[in-house]
Amino acid sequence: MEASISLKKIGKVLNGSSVLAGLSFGIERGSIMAVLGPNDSGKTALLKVIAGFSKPEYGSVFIEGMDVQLRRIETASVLGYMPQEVNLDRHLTVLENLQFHGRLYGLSRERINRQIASLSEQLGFRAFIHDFPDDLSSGYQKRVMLCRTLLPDPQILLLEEPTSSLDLRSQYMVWDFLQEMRGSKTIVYTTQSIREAERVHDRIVIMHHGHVALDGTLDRLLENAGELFHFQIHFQKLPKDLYEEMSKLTTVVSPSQVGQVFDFYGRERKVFFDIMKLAIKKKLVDYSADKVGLETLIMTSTED
Amino acid sequence: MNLISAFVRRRVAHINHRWIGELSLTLLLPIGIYITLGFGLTNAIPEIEAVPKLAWLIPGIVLMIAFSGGLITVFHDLFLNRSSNQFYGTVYTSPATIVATVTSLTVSVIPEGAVRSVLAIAILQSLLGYVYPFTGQLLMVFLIILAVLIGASAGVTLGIVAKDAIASQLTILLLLIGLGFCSSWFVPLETFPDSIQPLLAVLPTSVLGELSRGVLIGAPVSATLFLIPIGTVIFWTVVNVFLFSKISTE
Repeated sequence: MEASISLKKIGKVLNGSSVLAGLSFGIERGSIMAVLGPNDSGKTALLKVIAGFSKPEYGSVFIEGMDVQLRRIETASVLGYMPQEVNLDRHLTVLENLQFHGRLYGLSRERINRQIASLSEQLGFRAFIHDFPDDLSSGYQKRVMLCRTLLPDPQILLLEEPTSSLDLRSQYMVWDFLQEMRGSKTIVYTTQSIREAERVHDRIVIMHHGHVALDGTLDRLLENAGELFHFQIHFQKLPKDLYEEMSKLTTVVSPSQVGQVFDFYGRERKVFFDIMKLAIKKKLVDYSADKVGLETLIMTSTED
Repeated sequence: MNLISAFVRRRVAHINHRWIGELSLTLLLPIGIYITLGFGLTNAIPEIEAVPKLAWLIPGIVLMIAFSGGLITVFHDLFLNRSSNQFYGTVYTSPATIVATVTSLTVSVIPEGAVRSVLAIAILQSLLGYVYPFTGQLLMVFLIILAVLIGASAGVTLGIVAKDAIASQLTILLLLIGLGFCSSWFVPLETFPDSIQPLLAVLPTSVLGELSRGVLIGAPVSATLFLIPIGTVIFWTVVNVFLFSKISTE
């Protein structure tokens, strides 16, 4: 498939530290890409650079083949950017906010009204169209912002944590809405929600310190993680010598002690029994054994 | 034009939602200033033949209302919403050019500034019991628009560069009081020391004061003076476009 967005060696420095470090990748037209990572990993910086709002120190971003920095007007016309914070004009009603945004994009009055009627119905806030943003719950404010982003019908959507602060019902509604747009719009969104990324994506990018730590579909990422299992054994008291003895087992991967918990990974379930043979001499409180999922992948791939 | 219309409608909507406050301010502000300055500055105001003494003061009051309306409105809007995470973030990521945005933002306060100032002239004429010549009043509308634009341009600059809300509000207060007197809006230039009079005389706001008295009470003025406030607005818009480009990209 053709790339809708291309990044060529993008580097961005903020306050003396590198927030994006030589990123190069393409995003296919009509696909949904979820960007995950810890705080300050560069997720927001990435979206802002793609949106053309933030100027990279080096490298270029191309939207539909156009350089974002050189052809800002053309690229801005096909982009819709939704920030994480609510940034509606609190002195205008929801309807007036949306109308202003439509005019900002040069839409005709008929088209603005048609789009508002249709989107407000789909996103379920039609009843609140004459209310002020401050009178709405944060969930409805987010819906209004999504509507505003979609109003000019952009080909590319850049969404910063679109479902943060939404209740479960609203989250599902937004997820379904994004899924419906798969194929017709290119969607790049940042999120802290594992469940969201697992549910809505064609591709997941995990960022760490401005780098892409992992990139691929969920299945591919988990496949690359192999048959890795995550174990935790809770002791009443975990002695140092036992910890060292267990850590020395060759089948134990990345052992660590968290309080009285022995935390480790293993390629197969058998390793658990090897550990239990040693641990059984001590008083055990609890244990857990899970196949590695996206959450663990993020934790392990973004470790300092 | 679409963008200007968008910003003007936004301003009109803002006023519409708090019309009681806006109307009260529009009606009471000129009366308040007139009474305060009229009583306080009677002795400083020059006598003009066939015109009531306080008719000299009214153009200055109207210009102050126009200038401060543009300045305070635009400053507050930009200062409170200029960050990329706030309302103007949507403007920065839109296809609107910086020139069009700055121009639209500056021009958007003309309707409210003009209405407020024209109402002020009407109210003050009633209080004074004197009516200025009709053609003079028509020309005065043009000068009011220039005063609004200069105020709005100053508002854009301050809204972009201000770091602290309280400090910038104090600056605006001092600026308004200072300009009101130094621009001969409230007292004649001759009341200032001879050494600074030439400097004060070329301030665009002083020129507006001189022109407004020319068109309303027939004081002699040169038509070429109109170029100074017009040039000021154009030059300031260029400066604001440069400043705005700095905040609209990170």
